[in-house]
Amino acid sequence: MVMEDMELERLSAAMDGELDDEKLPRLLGGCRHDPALQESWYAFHVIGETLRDPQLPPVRLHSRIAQALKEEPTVLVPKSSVGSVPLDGATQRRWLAMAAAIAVVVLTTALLRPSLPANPVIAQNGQSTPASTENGVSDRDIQTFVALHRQGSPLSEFQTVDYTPQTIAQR
Amino acid sequence: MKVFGKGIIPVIGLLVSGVVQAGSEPAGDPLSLLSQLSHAAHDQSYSGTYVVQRGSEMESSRIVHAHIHGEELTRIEVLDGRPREIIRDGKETRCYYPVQHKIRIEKGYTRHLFPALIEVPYEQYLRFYDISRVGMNRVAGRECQRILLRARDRQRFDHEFCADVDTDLILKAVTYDQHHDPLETLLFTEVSEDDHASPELLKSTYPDSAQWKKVFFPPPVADHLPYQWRIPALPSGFSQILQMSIQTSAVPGAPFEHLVFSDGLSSFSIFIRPLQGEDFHPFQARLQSSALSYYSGTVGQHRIVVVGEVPQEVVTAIGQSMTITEEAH
Repeated sequence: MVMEDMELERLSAAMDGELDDEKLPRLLGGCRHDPALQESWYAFHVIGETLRDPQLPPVRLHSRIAQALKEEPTVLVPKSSVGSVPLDGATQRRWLAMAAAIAVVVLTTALLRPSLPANPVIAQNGQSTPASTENGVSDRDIQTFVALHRQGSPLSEFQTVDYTPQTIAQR
Repeated sequence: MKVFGKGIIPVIGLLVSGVVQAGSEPAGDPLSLLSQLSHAAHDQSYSGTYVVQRGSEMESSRIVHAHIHGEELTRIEVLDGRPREIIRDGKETRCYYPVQHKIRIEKGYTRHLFPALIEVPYEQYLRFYDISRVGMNRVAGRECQRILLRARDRQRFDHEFCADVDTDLILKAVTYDQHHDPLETLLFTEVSEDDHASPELLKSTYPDSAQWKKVFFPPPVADHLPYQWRIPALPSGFSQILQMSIQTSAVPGAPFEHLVFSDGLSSFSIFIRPLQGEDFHPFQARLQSSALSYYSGTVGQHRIVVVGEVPQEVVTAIGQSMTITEEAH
């Protein structure tokens, strides 16, 4: 099996939540440096999200991605900065393509999910609203902004433990 | 039966009140007390292992804190999960992420690293918390004085510290919810004074990190934003300590604004992200997990997310009260 096929197989396994935890970071690292792998990654996502039956239990891949993101410091890019390194054209185009791919995924999943909550949903101690805690979009939102809050909070993120959808649902 | 009629309830109330009050006493001079807690964490040399606990989640870290040639130095190594390390000196805080070969360098921003949780100005705590001594405890094999900071309003949580009776070092810190159930706990499992810490113990364990990618924090604020915001429901005592423009692969699109507010013990973030034509389904989600509350909604053509260590009602009120004014073209 050639290397490219192996990468795609790992990608597919990751999509199915079956890739070993120790292999996931390497794969994500590869995605960062390999535009072809990035395209495959998002293509798989678009296909998977489009075909996924919203009634089926969600794949927990997002929490593992969030875990990988948590362990990777967010790149903070001010609109205007002193001493920062500007992105070159190729990098900008790559990020633009990735953002566009994600937007397509979000748009697609939103259109396929008419039951996306339009009213406030609450998960409190002992009560959880499945749509709010087990739905991929909301979980990713929550984890992303919780991670960003930690990075900006005076209480260092190093002094905190992970928040996963499971712990949110438990509370 | 008449004896247990109208009169018994006030009597029980007085008894209960007496019992409760007998367990707590004013902190004397609370400013001096807070100063002692702060100085103990900054001025002394110590090393130990502490644990962070939230619900069923737990993580432990090793800390070494000392003064070398008059400079305050701290090294924290996260012992669980992937390796992470903090090195702080008088100039900056460096966070090492060895797996990613990255370093986040923080300058001009005060992180509250356990046990240095109390920082000047101490008066900020007195305005919004009643401070009292509530008994004794034993943590990491040491006797410690429990000190309660009870919130004077419902816009923040209660906090409790247990300070070593000999050194005043905070050995345990607990954040409580409105029902006085613990939300977060940080505590030493072992700690010792170490007046002659080796400088080697305060250096990074990653000497080969010169080529690692450096991320500077916080970044400068955007020069100009085409919109302005108001936060009518900003809780009293919380002031903005940080504003930055953020771009992350986790949130597609243009950079968005991240504001951080703190009252000295707790903090919350407000994120303002212009919707850029995407088919975003407006929704509100309020979740509470441990000490963190979360609110998401939209205001006009902007998405608002509020998340922080404050009660759920507070983040919701903040988010729902916000107004955004677009700059006239």
